[in-house]
Amino acid sequence: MESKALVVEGLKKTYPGGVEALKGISFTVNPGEIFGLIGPNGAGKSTTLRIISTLLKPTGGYARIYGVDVVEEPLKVKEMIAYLPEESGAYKNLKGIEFLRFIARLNAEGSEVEEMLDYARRLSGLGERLNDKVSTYSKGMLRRLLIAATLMRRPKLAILDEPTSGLDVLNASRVRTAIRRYAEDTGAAVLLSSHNMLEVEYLCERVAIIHQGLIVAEGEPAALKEEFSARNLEEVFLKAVGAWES
Amino acid sequence: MGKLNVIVWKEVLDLVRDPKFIAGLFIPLIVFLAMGSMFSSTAASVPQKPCIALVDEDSSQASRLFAEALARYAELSCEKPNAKVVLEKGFGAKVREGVFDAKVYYIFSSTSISESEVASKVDDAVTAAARDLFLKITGLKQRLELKKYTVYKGRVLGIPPEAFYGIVFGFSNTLIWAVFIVAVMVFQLVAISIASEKEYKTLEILLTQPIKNTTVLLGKLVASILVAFLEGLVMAVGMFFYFQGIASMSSPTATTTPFNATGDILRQLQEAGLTPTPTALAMYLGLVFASLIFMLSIGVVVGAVSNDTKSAGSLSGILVPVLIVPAFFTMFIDIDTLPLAQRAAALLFPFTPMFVAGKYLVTNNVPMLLYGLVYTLAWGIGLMALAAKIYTSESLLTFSAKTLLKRFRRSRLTH
Ligand SMILES: Nc1ncnc2c1ncn2[C@@H]1O[C@H](COP(=O)(O)OP(=O)(O)OP(=O)(O)O)[C@@H](O)[C@H]1O
Ligand SMILES: [Mg+2]
Repeated sequence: MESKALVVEGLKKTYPGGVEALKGISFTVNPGEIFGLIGPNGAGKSTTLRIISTLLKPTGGYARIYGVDVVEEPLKVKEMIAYLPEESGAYKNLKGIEFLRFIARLNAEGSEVEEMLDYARRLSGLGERLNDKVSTYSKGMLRRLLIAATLMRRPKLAILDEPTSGLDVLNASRVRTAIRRYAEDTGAAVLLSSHNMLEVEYLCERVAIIHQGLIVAEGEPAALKEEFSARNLEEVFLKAVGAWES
Repeated sequence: MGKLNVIVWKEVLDLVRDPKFIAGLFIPLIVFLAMGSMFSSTAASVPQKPCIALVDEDSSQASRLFAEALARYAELSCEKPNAKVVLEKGFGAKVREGVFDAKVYYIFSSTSISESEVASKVDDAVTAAARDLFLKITGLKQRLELKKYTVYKGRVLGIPPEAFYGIVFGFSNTLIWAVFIVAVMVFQLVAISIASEKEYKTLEILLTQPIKNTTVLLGKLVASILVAFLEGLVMAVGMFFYFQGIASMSSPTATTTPFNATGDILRQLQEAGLTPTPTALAMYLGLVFASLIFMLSIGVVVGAVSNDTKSAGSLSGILVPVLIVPAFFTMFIDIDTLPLAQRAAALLFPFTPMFVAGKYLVTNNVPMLLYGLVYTLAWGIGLMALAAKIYTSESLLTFSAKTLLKRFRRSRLTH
């Protein structure tokens, strides 16, 4: 059994239109670890996460989840991961609970489905509103529904693209607690991307800063602060991408 | 494939609850209205005076008077008569008793819908001439005893023309419309169900569930067929009442089908080869199935290249007229009477076979049904392979004319 939750090696991606989104990036994520990908808009975070989630094919390099290649055995990979896209919705004609049940039934059988749903109810905190149609949800409610639908699957690697985007302070902090608790309770790995440096510093054991398709810095937040002699991660980030003006 | 039912369940729920689904039920009704106006315009295009060949075996005063009267309502000497009226020996004697006794042979030269209109024109002419005849002979109460026959492809059938076109037109045209409605629905449903995954940003979540992408696609296809049949069922109920209404107004034989005909009519139909053999029926059903696959595959391609339901809708809007043309064409024109080149062109058009099928079923044309089955299936399988390829590749996510354009505009703005 492979001891790494995720190994990314020399990953490249050029889109059909010719955009070179990834120019060869490498990093690893250990089981039980929360790993953060940070970088400016268009750096290639979503591209990386979508390749790892089997949605896109890399044009170079590889990504392996617990030793399974994402290109060669996508179905096996999909059984181990759960992916929350950056921009995502749910079926608007379905009720919240029906959406969760749909996802649960794709991932489990029999009584396990109800167990998953119980867990999702708690995670979402949507209560009675789960019986309303998704089309009546606010942005924050929708995001909580989707996070519940992602984590209830109990993936060995959760891939979350900007999980707290669009959430208010209270909801964002609830989601962060849920993510942290999930990693601690299950020993699963979490790979997330974010623009929120505070969040990354609070959540992630290790981070990688990605800029124009390349990783420019990687390590534990504390070590990075030391390395860049910065007061916080935001400063590290700005210095790493060469945008620091003192 | 174990999770197929889960996908189908979600798709059906999502489709049936959509307001567009309700709207979809009205489209066929509009088609019905269009059909009605087409009927009346065909009626208008039929020549005012039918051509009737009169055979006078009686040579009495009454028969000559009838010939004079009939000449006012019909052409009596022409190349291709629409009907033959035979006045047998003793015609004059019967007229004096107040009975008009004649044999009318309605000659159908094709299975075009205008033939039925000509038949009723013949009826009108004979009735009017008979009325004039009785007026001349005076005072006697009239009784019309018309013995009606249908002549189809040189063969005399002992059934009235109403029964004949009830089968060849009424029944086969109902089949044509049933196929049309289900084809349009199945195609639109699958296109919209794929495009809406993009519009509402659910595609990426769906494609990362632990199921094969082909299962996701198959689930959509099955659900689209189920929902289309559901809509078809609702329409069938509506159509049933529609035809019931028509039937109550005209003669009951107008609703004869090869499946409910009984006794003498059935025997006559069988002799004329107008009852489908099991082989023809099997071929027909096969062709309908092939057409479904064909339409589904077009739907997948349209859905895959559309970014939202709106563009999927406008793309399908282009296809509906393309389907209407062969559908109307086969209703109003008998393909078999066209010159060879035109006939070949019509049959090579990939949408024609699914519509001609109804007529070939009632006339038991197994070779043509087989051709349609094979040809449509070839198109269906070819396009479905392409559709599955698009659906299971990343171009489903990355291809989109619209966002490419947007990105281009944005990059010009920022520079
Ligand atoms: N479907 C696509 N086709 C072509 N180019 C694309 C496509 N998707 C993304 N790109 C390009 O790839 C590059 C990286 O995009 P990506 O979405 O991975 O960035 P990101 O780091 O997630 O940015 P953000 O923080 O804005 O979400 C960008 O230049 C983007 O324009
Ligand atoms: Mg992104």
